[in-house]
Amino acid sequence: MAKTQSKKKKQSDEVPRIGVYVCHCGTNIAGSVNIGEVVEFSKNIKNVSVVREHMYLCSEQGQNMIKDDIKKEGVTRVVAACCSPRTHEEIFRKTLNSGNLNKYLYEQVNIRDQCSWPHFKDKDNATNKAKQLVKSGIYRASELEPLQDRKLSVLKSCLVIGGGISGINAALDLARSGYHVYLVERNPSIGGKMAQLDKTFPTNDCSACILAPMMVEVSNTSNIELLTYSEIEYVSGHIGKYHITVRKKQTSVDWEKCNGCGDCSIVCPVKVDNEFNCNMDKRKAVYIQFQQAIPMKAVVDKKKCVKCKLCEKRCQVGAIDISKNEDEFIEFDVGSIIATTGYDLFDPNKKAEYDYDHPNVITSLELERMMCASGPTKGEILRPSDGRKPHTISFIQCVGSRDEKTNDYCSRICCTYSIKHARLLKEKYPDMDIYIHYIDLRCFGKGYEEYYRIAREKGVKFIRGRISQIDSIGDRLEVSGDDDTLGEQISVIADLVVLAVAMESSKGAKKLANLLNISTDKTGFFKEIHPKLKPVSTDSDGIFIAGACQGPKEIPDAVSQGKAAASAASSLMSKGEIEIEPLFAQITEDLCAKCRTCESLCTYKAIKYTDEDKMEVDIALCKGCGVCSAACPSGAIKANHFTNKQVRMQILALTEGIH
Amino acid sequence: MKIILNNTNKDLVDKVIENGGKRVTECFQCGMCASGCPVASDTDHKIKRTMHQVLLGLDEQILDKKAIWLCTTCFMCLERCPQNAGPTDVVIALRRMSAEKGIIPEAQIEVANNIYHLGHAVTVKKGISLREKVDAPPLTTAGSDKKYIDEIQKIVDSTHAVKLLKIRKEWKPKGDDVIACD
Repeated sequence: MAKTQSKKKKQSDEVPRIGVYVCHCGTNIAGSVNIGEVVEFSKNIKNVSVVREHMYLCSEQGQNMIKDDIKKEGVTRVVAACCSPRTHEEIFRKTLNSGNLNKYLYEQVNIRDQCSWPHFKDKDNATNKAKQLVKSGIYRASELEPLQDRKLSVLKSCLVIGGGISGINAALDLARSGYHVYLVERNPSIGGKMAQLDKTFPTNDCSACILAPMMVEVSNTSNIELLTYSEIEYVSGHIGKYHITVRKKQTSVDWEKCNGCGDCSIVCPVKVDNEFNCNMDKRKAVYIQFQQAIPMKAVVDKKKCVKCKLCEKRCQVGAIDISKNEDEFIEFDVGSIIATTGYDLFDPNKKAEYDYDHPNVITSLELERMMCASGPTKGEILRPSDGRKPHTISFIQCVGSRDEKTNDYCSRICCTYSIKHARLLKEKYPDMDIYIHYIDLRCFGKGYEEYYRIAREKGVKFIRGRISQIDSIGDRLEVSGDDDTLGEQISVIADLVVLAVAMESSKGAKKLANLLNISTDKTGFFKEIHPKLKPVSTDSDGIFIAGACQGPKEIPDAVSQGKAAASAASSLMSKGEIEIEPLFAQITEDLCAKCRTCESLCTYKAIKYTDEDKMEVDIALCKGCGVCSAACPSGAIKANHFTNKQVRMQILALTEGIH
Repeated sequence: MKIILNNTNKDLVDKVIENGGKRVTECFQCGMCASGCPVASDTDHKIKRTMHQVLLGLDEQILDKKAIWLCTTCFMCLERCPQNAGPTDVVIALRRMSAEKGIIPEAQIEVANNIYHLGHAVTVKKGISLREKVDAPPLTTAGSDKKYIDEIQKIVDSTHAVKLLKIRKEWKPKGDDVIACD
């Protein structure tokens, strides 16, 4: 009898005292939700002891209000009705922590994204919905349990995927800070798209002269392990310890011996389209990717090689063995991953009106290669149809950008690179007539406005209006459009047309996203968690993104992001261990029938059947998604922080009184 | 009619710069000049379009048309142009070039001849007689004494203006009912 009483007494001691805090967020919430009504409504809900409102709850003053209530009013559960947990949950959890309350006794109700924003035209119902959601948050809060963060050790090494300008910067920064870096690049050389550029805006300095010294530094840095001509085959593990398998494609050249002399290419009889020069000239089946390649090593293109073995005989150091066919697999563990896989260019064939089949219609990158002294024309601008110098050139902007039929986004760099091309051409050939057909000129970067002004002063003509079609008139091209200011149709009879093709997510992006378990947005670019709060983080902990794989970007931005990702990875790895949320599944062994339903459903491969006839959760892998818990036929799995009881209370709150 | 840009006058920009529209290439068609222009709503003078036509070399569309002469040279656009492209300077340059070609409207010729012969852009005869009637002191203006007019004519004769402004030795002003000093 006495025992029952004491138990009852203990229970009553544990009756939660819930503090409810409703935020105005300036007018962001208060503009369409009646805060006063929500406050009054909340006061009458069971277990609620304090209800307050604040103009900006996340301010220091707002957070202190919560801390004071924990201390003085004995609040044991906190419900904040404010914005998104995505941005602010961590902030308020820290508030609880500093108020000496377990941070998992916090529940956030998002009455901004779910009430005031979508229902701004209907204040009554926005307020009603807010009340219901707050009530459901309060019911759930009554059932919250304190949880402890878990610690995880973190390896002090990083995998950087992609050796473009962004990846190079990330790798160098991490290596300089003392971390071991694996830099994986699918091409024979690092350098990425920037290696193909002749000059870079807004300074017009030589692209190779900026990039090449960085590439050399990569090869000279002892704690960067460079794996070129390689691709990611498989990724497993979790933040702190990812297990990586890299496929090193067969080069048939022993790179330990190869001295990059290039003799093999000279004797090779097989000519292949040269991708580095946009297929405008030929390379050999055994080749060094470009003049400044790092590593400066030859590769045999196994698909094109005819196995004549001339190169084998010619090679003075005996590095080539054509009979080698097998790819090599390299495995290692890293603490973090940075994806910097860059972009691909839009295929202009998709815009039939621009007649890309015509030899004198080229893309900007093709022009760039022509302008480059090491390019297919040694820096001369020549019409592909007859090798003559063009007199009139039209640049067509937004090919595959700002276009609902292809890509709706702006590619950000095309305006300035077309201006760059126009300027460089005008400087070299002042008599040339150059037209840029644009819809908006977005030259937004530091120094770009001046860059644009100088182009106008040099006589480049800017015509506002999208070109509707290109017709061939013999070997010339009639570019037909509209001039917005004149209000008239115009046409230019051009010798060469240059299409400013859009930046698109790279073709391998989807596959890599699957391997890394990170999200892509609707355009196929990798998705950051939040553009301002976590711009280089992904929804997989410990995996970061940088450069154009996240979205169209110019070189300065790609470099900045590469450095930002290095900093994010470094702050993760520097202590050697991190604390992570204890939101994982727990199995009650007595109830488990080992049906293994959970094992087959788990996306993260976190549940395994062990030799001891047990189901075991790898808490480092488990994301706490709750699929196993929902599916378990015997209710043996509890998803921490989202227990059946907590979820049922929310449902009860929302359905109470509905018949 | 479709405009073929290859056939335009590639030297027009340089000519305009030579004639005083020095910063015409700064124009990027923001439209601030045209939005404040006091004559744009009632006339064909569209200064933003004119700037663009200069840049494209469309001289036939500007020089042979009346529009550039409708500008009142109030200098509002020049004051406000964020690019300092000097739209009024461009208009004046175009007028110079147009006059060189012999294209100048009758009204401008009249004003020029009035100044040459009378010392005034408009006649002030009525005003002078009115002052006499009310015993006001006589008006002293550039036109009030033959010696001033001689000086004006000497200056004009020594310049290119005689030809450009089609100054005629025989001149009879149109009416004398305009009172400048009203």
